[in-house]
Amino acid sequence: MICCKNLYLEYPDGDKTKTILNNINLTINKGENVILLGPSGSGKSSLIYLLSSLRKATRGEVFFNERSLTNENVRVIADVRKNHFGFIFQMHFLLPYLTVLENVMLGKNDFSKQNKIRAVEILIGLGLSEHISKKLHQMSGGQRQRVAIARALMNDPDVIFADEPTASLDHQTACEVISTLKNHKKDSILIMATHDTSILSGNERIIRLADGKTIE
Amino acid sequence: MKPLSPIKFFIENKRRTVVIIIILLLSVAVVSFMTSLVTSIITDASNANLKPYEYCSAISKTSNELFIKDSIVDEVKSYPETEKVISVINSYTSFQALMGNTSSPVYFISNEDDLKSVMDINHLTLSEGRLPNGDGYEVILHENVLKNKSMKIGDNIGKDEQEDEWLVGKYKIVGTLKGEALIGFGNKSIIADTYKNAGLTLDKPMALLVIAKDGQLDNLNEKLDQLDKRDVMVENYSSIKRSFDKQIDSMNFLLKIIIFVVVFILSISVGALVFIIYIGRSDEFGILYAMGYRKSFINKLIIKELAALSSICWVFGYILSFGMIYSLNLFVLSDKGQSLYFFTDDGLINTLSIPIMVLICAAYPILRRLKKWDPIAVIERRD
Repeated sequence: MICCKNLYLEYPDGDKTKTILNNINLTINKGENVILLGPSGSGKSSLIYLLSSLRKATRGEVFFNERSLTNENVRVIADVRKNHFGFIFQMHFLLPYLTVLENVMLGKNDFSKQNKIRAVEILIGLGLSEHISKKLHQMSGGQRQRVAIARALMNDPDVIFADEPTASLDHQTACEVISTLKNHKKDSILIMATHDTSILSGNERIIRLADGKTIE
Repeated sequence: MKPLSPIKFFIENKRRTVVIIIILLLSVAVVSFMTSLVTSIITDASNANLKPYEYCSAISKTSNELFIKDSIVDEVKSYPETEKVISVINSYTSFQALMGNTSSPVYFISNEDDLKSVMDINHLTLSEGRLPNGDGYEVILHENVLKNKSMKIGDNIGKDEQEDEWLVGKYKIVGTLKGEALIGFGNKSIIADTYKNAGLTLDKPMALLVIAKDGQLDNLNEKLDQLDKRDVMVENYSSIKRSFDKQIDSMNFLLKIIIFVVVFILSISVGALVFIIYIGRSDEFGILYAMGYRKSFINKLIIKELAALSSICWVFGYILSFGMIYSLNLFVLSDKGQSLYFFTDDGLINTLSIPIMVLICAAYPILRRLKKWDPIAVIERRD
């Protein structure tokens, strides 16, 4: 379970304060697939960064499995991200000098044979079996994004944070990818920010954001 | 190779790192070569100037005197440290060393047993030919001196034959010597006969070789240094070393300055190049951080990569300098009886300063920037 209480994100904007997220209260239970919808600048990405502890909130608290992450030190938070969270961003952020397989293996800092096998299985599942040894420049934008998705699944995450993950994919591939993300593990949570409502299947929990506030 | 192996980035980004690799490699090679050159010059000069006095000392008359006074001979013989005093005529032969023209002593000794004892005490052996006898103007010289002068047994040597030669007269080379000290020998008898024919006598010594008892050379030299400089000129290990060290000190100082400048400029330049490359890798570090790799892990990865790069360049730079020195020795210097030394302590210290300084100059600004850097800003694309 992941939840947040009275979450605020504010930035100084000249003499004033710009509020990005305004008193967000959410509880997301195991197995839930949450879609964050909203126009650009509504705070979707910022909410993902706060819930995943990539950023610290100005005020409020974030809990993961009933444990507050707000006052934990960076090492503990890094370990939580490494062992329990998976990330997919709008840009793939893959390392261009590594092969597809090596990039996926980065998702878990364990380069054992067992993990290599796991990485290969994930890549096969995402339809990238023929691209395992390729470098990124040999692949299309959509294929690269699927590699990034494979990397996010590598540590078998309890929560997947996805910020516009299907932006560079065609509709059919996007639907397949969303299905993979939803079903990768029983009881896992998917929190995804997107503009594209056509990829939704109807069994998701929709949270709309506008001006930094949630409207469920 | 593991994805985050310290050399992975450099292997997969050869184009971006080739300039740094070449600069580092050449710098190590140049510094190693320069150090080898200076060390070889010093060792060469030491062999020529100091080695002949490592086991015995020489006393010569001054220009004011015709011979060494009897009282001085008696005094030297009376020292408890003195093992043997041999009357010699001392001369020098010139040769081309790495640092320029230098000389090695040639002792003319009448008694063959005395000559052999001087050879023994200087660890010299006859490698070819025979010892000079008293019937003719003959010399034996060190094989490296002969190689340097492109001469061989049977050739004539002396100022009468070669204008730039320091050895006065004309002598036939009858043998070659092997060993560390560059000393030559002739027979004094023929010279004494020449003096006799001119109505002069050589019954008193013009120069003496003084051999010390075991372990007593330093004490003996101290006493020889006390002899009146108006009567005799003393050439012993300590006096030669004093003047030798003065010359060497200035050369060593110059080398240190050059190496400091090379290392300083190089470290700053390579540091700047590496900094640019690493700033270009912000995305990479940002995503690693987001995925849960700690900042300390990323810092260690950067240090490991830079340490691996500079160490590998150091090894290959050293090998390159080995190749340069080996080729120079093989194709140029060996024919002259000279050679550059390969691996020296100074070479190791001087070249090691390159990877260490480069590591510091490259890693410090990157780590400093990463300390202030917000990796998530890269992900958010606000950086």
